[in-house]
Amino acid sequence: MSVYIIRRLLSTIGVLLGVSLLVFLMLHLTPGDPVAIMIGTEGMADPQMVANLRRELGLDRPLYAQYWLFLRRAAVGDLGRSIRTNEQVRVEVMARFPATAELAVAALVLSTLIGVTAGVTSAVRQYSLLDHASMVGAMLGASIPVFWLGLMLILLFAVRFPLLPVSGRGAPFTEAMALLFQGDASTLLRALRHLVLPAVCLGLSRAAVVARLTRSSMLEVLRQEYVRTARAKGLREQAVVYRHALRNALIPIVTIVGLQFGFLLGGAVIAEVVFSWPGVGRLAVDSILARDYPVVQGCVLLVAAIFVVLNLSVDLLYGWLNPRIRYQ
Amino acid sequence: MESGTASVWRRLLRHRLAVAGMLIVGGLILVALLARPLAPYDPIAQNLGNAFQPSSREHPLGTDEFGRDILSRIIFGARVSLLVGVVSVGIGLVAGALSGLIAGYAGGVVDVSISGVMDVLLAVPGVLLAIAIVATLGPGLFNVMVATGISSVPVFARLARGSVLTVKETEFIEAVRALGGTTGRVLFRHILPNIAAPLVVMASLHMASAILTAAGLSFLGLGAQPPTPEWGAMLSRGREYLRSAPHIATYPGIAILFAVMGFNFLGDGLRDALDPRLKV
Repeated sequence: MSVYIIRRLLSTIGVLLGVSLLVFLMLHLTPGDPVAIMIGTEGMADPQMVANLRRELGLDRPLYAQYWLFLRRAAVGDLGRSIRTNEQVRVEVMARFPATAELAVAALVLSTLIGVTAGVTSAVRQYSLLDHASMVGAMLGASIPVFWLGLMLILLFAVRFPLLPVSGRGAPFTEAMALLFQGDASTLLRALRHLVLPAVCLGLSRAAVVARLTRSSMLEVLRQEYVRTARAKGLREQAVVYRHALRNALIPIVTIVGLQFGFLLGGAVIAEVVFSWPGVGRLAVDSILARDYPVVQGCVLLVAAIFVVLNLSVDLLYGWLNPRIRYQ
Repeated sequence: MESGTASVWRRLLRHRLAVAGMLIVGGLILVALLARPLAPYDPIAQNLGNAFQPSSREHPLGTDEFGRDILSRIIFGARVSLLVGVVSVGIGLVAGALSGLIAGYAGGVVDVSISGVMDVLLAVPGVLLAIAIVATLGPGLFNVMVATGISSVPVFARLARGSVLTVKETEFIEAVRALGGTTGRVLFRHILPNIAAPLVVMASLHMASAILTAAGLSFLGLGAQPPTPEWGAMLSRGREYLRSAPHIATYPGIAILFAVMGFNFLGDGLRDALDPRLKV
């Protein structure tokens, strides 16, 4: 097991290095002069500025030296400065990250709750009307474009039934929690109300994936002998389903839920744009449209690094949950 | 081989969702091919005096902010979406299957390096990877196709590699090699046909996600540029008039939903029909 963990850690480091190379190359594979792209034609008129930027980016050195410099800087959290705001990229990206994390966690909780409930219900009543309905629902959910769903939710909740806010973030969650402990619940409520629609929009398609996987995993487990034993010894059906079957069926579900989080971080881009949520995804899109490359690099690097670390944790957790798995 | 194809067809036709998928996809292809005779109006001709019309006899789905007929734009949009799907799945399938085949068959250093590159590409969540590639290449419909294509390469590569690893140890491959079959012959005449089934299933499912991702990128303003009748871009424009003219954003979304659903159904049906062991 420890050999496996060490090997897995080493390969994670390798992948992270690869990702950093990919992000580094993003700027250099861009057609044209990166400096011209960054500062535009007006900026190019100022040779001093061009030379400064070239030196700051290390563009006057060979490519491998540039990558080494990029890596050394990135290792201490220095990802350069935003072209638009001249702010440190790390500061800009980290300022946006809590909002994205909040949204992704909320969507994850929502999709897991809906997905597991629907999947278990479907499996327990296989081929019933409920089963067919939830599986057709899952198919539909997996095919709905997130941006369209978002717009339809806005149409419904802002125009027809103005019940929930459809734009922006109410308050940072940590701040809301701190205020809650001081006896002020209204901020938390405001934060949650703002979170509902973006989280539903983002989580629904993932719920569909979780539901389908839960159903097939549960069906597999319900056929096992120990489930028959549990029934034979007279346990209530509920205990059989939840205590004996679901617990074992959860193993593959944990894996997929862990992976979902990474996809939610990536997929949050669209939900953030639709609901004007001030997260990393919107920052990335705004920066692409403004050709603010250092910020785009920072966003991609952060999300990819989190995704890689999550994958590692899920893998290790999987081994702990299911000791039958032998690592080689 | 004939009986194999026949039995796949039989299973496919018995699969209700697969039939629904085939009907939707078939309809989509037909609409794309016959866009010109089918569309009642020119999809890009503006008529400002006729803007923001709701559904009517003349314009069944209404008109947009430039007075263009939305139905005609959706019909022509089928061409764009199918093209995006075919090109990006084509890139993913060819590049992915080829590198997976080589990695799986060659093994050793070749396998380690190809798999390493794929692991890195898989480390960036799909949508974000596509966005990063578009950021590198610059916005535009063609670059979106390339981006969604590249971001699906690792999925196809991993699938092909895994399948090759199982097939290459079988006795018939050993027999072909013993009879003097060249590496190319072994790979393309004997291994490829045996790993085709999962690749076909994945291709169909990826048509769905490619259409979705590409429409998403266009929605973000990174893909098709005006006046191209692209569903995601239409939705994006409609967003500005959501309160006053909700129909502009509503109908293109339904078109995307149907197209994606069609390929998802078909992919699911194909999986069940081609590989009964995988049935869930």
